[in-house]
Amino acid sequence: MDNAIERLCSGVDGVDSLIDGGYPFPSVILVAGPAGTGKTTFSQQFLFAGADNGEVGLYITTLSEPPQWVMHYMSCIKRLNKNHIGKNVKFCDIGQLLRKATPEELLDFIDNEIAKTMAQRVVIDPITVIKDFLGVQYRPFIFDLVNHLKNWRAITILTGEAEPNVIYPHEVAYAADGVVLLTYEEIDGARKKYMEILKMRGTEHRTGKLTFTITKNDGFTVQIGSP
Amino acid sequence: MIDMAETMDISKKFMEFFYSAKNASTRKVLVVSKYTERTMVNICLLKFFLQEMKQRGIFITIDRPHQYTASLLTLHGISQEKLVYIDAISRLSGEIESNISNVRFVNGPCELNFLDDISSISCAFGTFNSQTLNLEEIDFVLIDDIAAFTKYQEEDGVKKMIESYISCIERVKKIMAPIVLDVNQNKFIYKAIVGKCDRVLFINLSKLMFKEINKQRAPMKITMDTRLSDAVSSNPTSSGGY
Repeated sequence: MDNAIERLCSGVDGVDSLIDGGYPFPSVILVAGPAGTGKTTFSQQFLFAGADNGEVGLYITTLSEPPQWVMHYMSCIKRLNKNHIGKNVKFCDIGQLLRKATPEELLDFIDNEIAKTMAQRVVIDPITVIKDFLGVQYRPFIFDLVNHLKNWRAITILTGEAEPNVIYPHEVAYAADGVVLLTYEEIDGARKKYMEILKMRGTEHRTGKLTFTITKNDGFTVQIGSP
Repeated sequence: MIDMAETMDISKKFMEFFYSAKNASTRKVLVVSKYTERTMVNICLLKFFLQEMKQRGIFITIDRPHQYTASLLTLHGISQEKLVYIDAISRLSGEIESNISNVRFVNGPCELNFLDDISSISCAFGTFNSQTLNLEEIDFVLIDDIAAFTKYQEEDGVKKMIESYISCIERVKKIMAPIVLDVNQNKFIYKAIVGKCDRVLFINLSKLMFKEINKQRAPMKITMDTRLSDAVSSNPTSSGGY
């Protein structure tokens, strides 16, 4: 019986061929890595690639960083079509809400934003900031959030910074359907960037580290066949 | 992305497709759409039946709890007064059951008995609205989504569920039953359904495509480049006071 899982493209050159053609739809994917590895670029390309196909994307920032500052840097990447901004790629800032909302209120707000936009692609960047505000309620919140996000029939990328000596945020990785790890290592005095797929449920995915670059012309690109 | 003006345009297309005089016998319609647009197609259909046509209907949900659809209808300002849900997934997924009157919970997708469940809904309508309602007074039924049976059953079981659903529709006079499906993802279900449906409608909302497909010649992989405006010709004023 054919029962193929629907997949949507990642928007990052090289990634789809590693994961059976794209992320499972619906699913929640954790993109984890230290500062500067390209988590936001990776997730923006995911949203804009969907918009190129007529899908709706919603970018939720938890940092109180206004969209103009997010796009100030993202707009350097030529493959992101700026005509999508405000149309098929929408922005939402929950930084202020985070400081006063209960987990239930936060979940309601996110539910409402996704329902309003009927987004098929969602990014919450970064998810780990929420831990500082919710404390012990963070883990159950993550489980509820992941369940809701999938029921909204969307693919969601949650970006996360790991704490010192931890390669990815475990609470999120456990609940997520996929984990993509971005790292950099010092080799001969230079930092080389690597991407690794640690987990992708329902998918025959490639394992092992692959190098990637981020350039103005091509954005985030994974070198297949590397390192 | 689809806006409200476009949903109005789509409603007009639905009107022509489902209710013009020449289409009087249309009841079981296979609606082919992309998997990622299924939610939007369902909302457009519900908006058409509930808001434009003021009809009574049933929404059977087996892929996610009914609250998600209910929230979307509320956000779009669509009244659910004439809609009853059969929710066959909330109990299985451990959701807290809402104590609202227009939902009937079933233990799981495999527990669905369409005719019994729909019959009991017709009784429920009577209770809610202090009036009696025959099964025949239900105008439409939508299922979200029929392909989700493949998660719980092998091919034979899925076929039986589909046959049971089609048989149920055929036993209820005048009920309209669009079945939304992504053909390219569910070829086996498509094969099982297409011959039993009266007509096949292709919708691609992001490209504003809306076109009837000849079911005798419907291909197994469907791609089209026809714009909504080029598709099914419609003259809303001549088809029921739209």
